[in-house]
Amino acid sequence: MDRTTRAQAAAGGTALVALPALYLGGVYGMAALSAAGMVLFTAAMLVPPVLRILATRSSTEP
Amino acid sequence: MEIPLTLLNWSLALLPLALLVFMMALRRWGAAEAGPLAWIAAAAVAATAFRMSPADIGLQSVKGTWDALTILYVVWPAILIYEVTREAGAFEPFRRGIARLLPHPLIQVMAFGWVFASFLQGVTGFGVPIAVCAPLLVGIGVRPLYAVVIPLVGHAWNNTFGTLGVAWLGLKQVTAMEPAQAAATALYASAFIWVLNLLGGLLVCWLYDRFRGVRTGLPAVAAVSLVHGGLTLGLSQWSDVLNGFIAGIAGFALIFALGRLPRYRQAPAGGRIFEPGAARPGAAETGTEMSLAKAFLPYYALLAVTLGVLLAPPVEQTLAQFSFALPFPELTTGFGFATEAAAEEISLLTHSGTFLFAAAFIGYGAYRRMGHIPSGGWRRVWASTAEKAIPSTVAVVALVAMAAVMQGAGQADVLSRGAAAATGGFYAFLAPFIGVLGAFMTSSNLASNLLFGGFQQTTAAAAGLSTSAVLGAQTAGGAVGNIISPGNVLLGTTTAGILGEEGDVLRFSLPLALLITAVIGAAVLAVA
Repeated sequence: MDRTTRAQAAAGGTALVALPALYLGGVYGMAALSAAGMVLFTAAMLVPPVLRILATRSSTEP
Repeated sequence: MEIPLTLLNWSLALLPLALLVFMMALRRWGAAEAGPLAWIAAAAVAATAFRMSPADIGLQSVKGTWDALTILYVVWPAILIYEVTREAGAFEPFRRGIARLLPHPLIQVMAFGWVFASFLQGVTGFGVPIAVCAPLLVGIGVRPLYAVVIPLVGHAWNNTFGTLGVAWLGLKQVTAMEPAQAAATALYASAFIWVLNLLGGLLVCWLYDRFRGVRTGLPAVAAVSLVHGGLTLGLSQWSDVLNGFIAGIAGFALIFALGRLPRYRQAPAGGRIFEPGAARPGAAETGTEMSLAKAFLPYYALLAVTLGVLLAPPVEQTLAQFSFALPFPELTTGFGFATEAAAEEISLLTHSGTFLFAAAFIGYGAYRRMGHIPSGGWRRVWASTAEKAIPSTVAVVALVAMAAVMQGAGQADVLSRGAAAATGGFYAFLAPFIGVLGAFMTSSNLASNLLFGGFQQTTAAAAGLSTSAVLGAQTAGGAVGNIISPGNVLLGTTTAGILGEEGDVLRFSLPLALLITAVIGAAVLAVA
């Protein structure tokens, strides 16, 4: 498994951890839990595009 | 209070989808990278311009992820079945066996990419035709990009009445049609779908060898389309559930009869879609270690398990009892746009993913017993499956979560209302494009019908158009949308071994889908 796939797996795992926080926070009105879930989920969603941008930059550097 | 329909709001609602298409088609990003970016854009637009609270964005994202499970439950076993077949070295004998039965390479391509894909759509759906047929086409020497595009185009027509009619039943349910209107709508829908089927067959020939391919394949396309489209049209007045399945199986039987015609008994050089240097399909080869029947074993198992469950109502009803649901509360945005409370149910044992898993396990056991898979095979199969499935998993979760956020925030509503307002009397032409939008966002004809069926009905009535024609166009458009839906594209790129090249597939399939939709739109304009 290459580095990108490992990073994507880690991002997927982080998103998975965020889901119970998002669900319970949303259903039971627990703002702090929701916020923590959103931060985790957003961070997970940022990983693949950031990896792509970094890979593109490193491949175009002289 | 309603979300104001302004150009700014409409443009912002479009932003996530435009960004997705731009990054995939023009910047050549894979769906695993472009999808998460599109989710971030959808969430940002929902929180700012559409007044959705972060907690509700989170809940909609969970709902999307929950819905994504039903897609992922197909992705993982579809890749597993492919890896089992590959580990057993079954693709080469499979290619040789098919070449003996259907010597003409165009008929082989039509058989897998159009007819078998349509048959699978008739019984399973959920992207299974793409996941199964793309590697089979690669197995007979088709270039991976074409091996993905061809079943995408070929299977699409059977998305409304296939999968035992779930998309059609969803449209009927959401629009509460009277029986007479339902019968008229079914007629319109199947007529538009026939157009899609015929164009699909012709496009497969065109992809094969441009106009020479169309000339060669025309008699076969005409015969198969007559059976596919004619049976769907005729049976649409008889059964909501079985017509797509019957049309699919009749077409599958016909292609083997057509392959015996003198016109198609020869084995000329393959068209431009074949890999250079690939063994020429149809070349006489003997002495294979594995017979065609053995090579096709996991797929026989898939058909046997699927038909055994779905065509035996007592078995299906018993298995359907094992289901679980996650309840979601009603959500309302700052604009008062409401999403009803819902319990999203998954029936695990009657899901296509279970049939695929069962087929993969049966296939592995049989190959192992026959000595085609050496020791350590199970570990290698799972390692390869995980490597392919992880990027697809990230992409599917991001895309379906994005669609759920857009629905919950009212972005999808603003998009369709804006398009209807801008087109006025020309709305009939636009109707199938809205169906396409729904399927593109959700990777499902059923979800597209549930999302936009009611809207299309009201808009058609307000514009004085035939509601039956417009609803027929909605579901036909939803079927076309499956050609470009990122979920289906991902299934194809993953199983054909070109993961990350979703943008290339989209650049190829998007113009084809838009062309087909425009033809259907013109037909709707003429009759509505």
